Amino acid sequence: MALRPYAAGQAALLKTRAPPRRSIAALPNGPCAEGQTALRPAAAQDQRELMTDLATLVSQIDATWFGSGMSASSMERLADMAREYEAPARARLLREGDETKELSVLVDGRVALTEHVAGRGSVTLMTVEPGDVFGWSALITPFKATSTVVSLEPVKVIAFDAAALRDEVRSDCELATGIYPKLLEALARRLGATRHQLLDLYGSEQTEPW
Amino acid sequence: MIELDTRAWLPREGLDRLIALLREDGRKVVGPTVRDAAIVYDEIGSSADLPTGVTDEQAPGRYRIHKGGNGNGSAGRSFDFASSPTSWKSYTYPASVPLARARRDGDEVEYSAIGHDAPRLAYLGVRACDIAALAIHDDVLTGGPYIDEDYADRRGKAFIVAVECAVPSGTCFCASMGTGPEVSNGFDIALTELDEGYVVKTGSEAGQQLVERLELEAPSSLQMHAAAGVGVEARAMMSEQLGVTTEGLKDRLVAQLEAKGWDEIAERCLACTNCTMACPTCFCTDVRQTSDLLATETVSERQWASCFTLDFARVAHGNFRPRVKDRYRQWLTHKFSTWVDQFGTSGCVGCGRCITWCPVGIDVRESLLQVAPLRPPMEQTQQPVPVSANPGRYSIGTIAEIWAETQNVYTLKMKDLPESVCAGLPGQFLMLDLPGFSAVPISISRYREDEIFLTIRTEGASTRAITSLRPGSQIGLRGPVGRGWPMEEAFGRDVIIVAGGIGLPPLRPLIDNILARRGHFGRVKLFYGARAPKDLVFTEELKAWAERDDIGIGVTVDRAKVGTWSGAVGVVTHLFDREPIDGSHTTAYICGPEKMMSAASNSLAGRGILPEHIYLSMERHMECGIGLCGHCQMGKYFVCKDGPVFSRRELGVSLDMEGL
Repeated sequence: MALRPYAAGQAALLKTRAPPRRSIAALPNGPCAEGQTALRPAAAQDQRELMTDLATLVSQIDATWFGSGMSASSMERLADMAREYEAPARARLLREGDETKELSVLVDGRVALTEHVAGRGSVTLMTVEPGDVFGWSALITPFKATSTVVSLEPVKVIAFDAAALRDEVRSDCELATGIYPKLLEALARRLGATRHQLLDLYGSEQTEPW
Repeated sequence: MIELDTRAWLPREGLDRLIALLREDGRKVVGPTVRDAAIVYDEIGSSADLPTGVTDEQAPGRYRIHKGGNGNGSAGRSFDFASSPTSWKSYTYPASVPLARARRDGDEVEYSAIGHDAPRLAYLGVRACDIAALAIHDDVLTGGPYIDEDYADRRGKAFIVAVECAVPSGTCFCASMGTGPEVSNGFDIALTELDEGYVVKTGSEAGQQLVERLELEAPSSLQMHAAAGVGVEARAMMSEQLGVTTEGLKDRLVAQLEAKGWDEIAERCLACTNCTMACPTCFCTDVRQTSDLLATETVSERQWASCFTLDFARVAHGNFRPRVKDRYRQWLTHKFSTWVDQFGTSGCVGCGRCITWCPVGIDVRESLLQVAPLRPPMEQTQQPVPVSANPGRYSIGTIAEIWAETQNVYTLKMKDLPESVCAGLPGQFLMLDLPGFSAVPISISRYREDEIFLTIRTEGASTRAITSLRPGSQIGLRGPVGRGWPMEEAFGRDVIIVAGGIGLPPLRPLIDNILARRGHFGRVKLFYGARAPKDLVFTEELKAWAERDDIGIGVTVDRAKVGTWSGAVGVVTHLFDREPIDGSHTTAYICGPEKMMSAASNSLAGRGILPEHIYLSMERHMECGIGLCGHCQMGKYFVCKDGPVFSRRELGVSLDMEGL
């Protein structure tokens, strides 16, 4: 396959590719068409609620990284407070600054954690892959979202009611010992990643003399 | 009074006098003799019982003796053979030794030891390898804190008449194990056989006294010279056949406990235990009890056992080594690796008996290479590089095409190259030079029949100048130099490739080669991270690879604008830190900024991949590329010639050490 020369300054464009269900991150989808950078507003109409029965919810939670290793009773308790929904690509699931009403686990698809920077637009800080959580601020004061969460492709999410969850972990130690270590691990992993991203390792201020 | 280590001359007919003296001392003399188409160690009466004129032929799974000399004038010699089917172990550590008696009477039990009263023996014709084996048994069985009394008794009553090996067999490898062929210690008397007789050397008080009683003369200088030549000749003969590289063997073996080679060998092995019975250092035993029907009188015996038997590692609830592969691996790794940890020396003396007497001809020398292949040590990777040793001289290549991969990364397709350039290996690099600018090290990012690709990021004056050239321009190049990615380390294993930023180009030839020989590898995955979507290189390639189903691709960027990128954003380690990885069966290759390589290798090591299976490509300031200018030193290594590819184990603490 011949490599086509790029004109100077032309950004690398990538063709759209339908993502199959996968366990490793596949090559990303393409850019938005001109003028489509605006996001659709968060609204219940973007989310299609799924009437999933309890048993299926439990097994879905168990299959995620977040739910793995949790006791059966903890998962049942979580499933009691859970709802499952689907959303299309480019749907806003959570807005920075809003009260986080749910702790969510991504079951399928990919979401971006973004922040708006004046003069730069919306910047993606990190993406979340299936099995991981977003909206962890639901469990930590002031219970406000620290970034805007946007779906990058059609997603399926299991969301746990934040108020109910906060109540439950206060009294149910077993549930608390199931959830908090996982949250801690997720945040530690993110902190490590954030630090490395901050270091800008691929940046061009390398100490190469040539 | 003859001094220790004096030489004396024993004419051929004098050997009978030696044997007679030993018998007068109340010793039985055990020596080599022909029986059942083999040369075995048995009681002998005189030199007539010796295998005079008999030679042996040994090869894996093959043993033959030949009478009537071996055609080089040895018609009258008695020790022109190598090893026997069993060793002196049959006498020092017999196959069955009664230990104790036990009585059981109603509720009472009573034990009484059975006294040791081994006969006094003289061993005639002990080879250097067998002397080394006796020393090993001394360590194992009497080194403490518990002493095998029967062995100590027999050992103390043994008089050793050693014999220098003149004719090693095809399975001998004592020279590479450092135990022979010359006899240096551990004997009472040593004989070096020449056609007319023996040069005698004493090695102990007892030996001295015996030689004195023989009233021998000193050997002539001609005889001394000939005797000295015997060991040299034997060593030379052995150097032409396969040996064992003991350097680093101990560590190499334990690093390969999961190697596929074990299964391959196990398919042939019958677990017949011949090797352990023939081996002079194997010491595993059973304690067997035999009793009368009512178990009132029981005798317990120490009997030879073998780790190859199915029941050797069995316990009531199961078996720790149920497979032949487990047991073969136990034997080989114990003999050559863990024995060193336990007793300070290797357990093998290189006698070759296990090779000769294996019915299917498994050769441990080859087995070791199969499961723990050699990685050339640092000093030996320096193959003659087809470049000028003058750092100012370069060969010439022409740019056939040049294009931009990203805003500051360009690929040059080079033609009209010296042959050696296209024959380079993945991971090697060239020193590129444009007159007037300092030379730069650039990894080759693809090999074709008679072209190569160089992918360069513009950073300074040199790279800016080079990437501004047009097709048709010439560049000076030196190389390929450096130690590249060891692809054979991944044969039969899963492969993980982690690239960061400009680290993907040096890995591309490796990916090309792996895909070209895809059947040799397990699962193959590439994880690539860059600063931003516009900094991704080889995007067409990545798409093509992503469409294949025999390689998995994961891509991430550190930062992206919403709406322009719907792929993963985050660090490259997040692409695989939750991936299912079989650490013991994976080899990893990593290239990118040092901190990223460090994070990636730590993450992978945490998943069970051993540091000797993780490879990184390092960079340092280079000027000559051939290890002469000193700039690229990193600890004890020259990155240009000892690297740029190193295993994580080789790097050790250098990787994260500031200011190194």
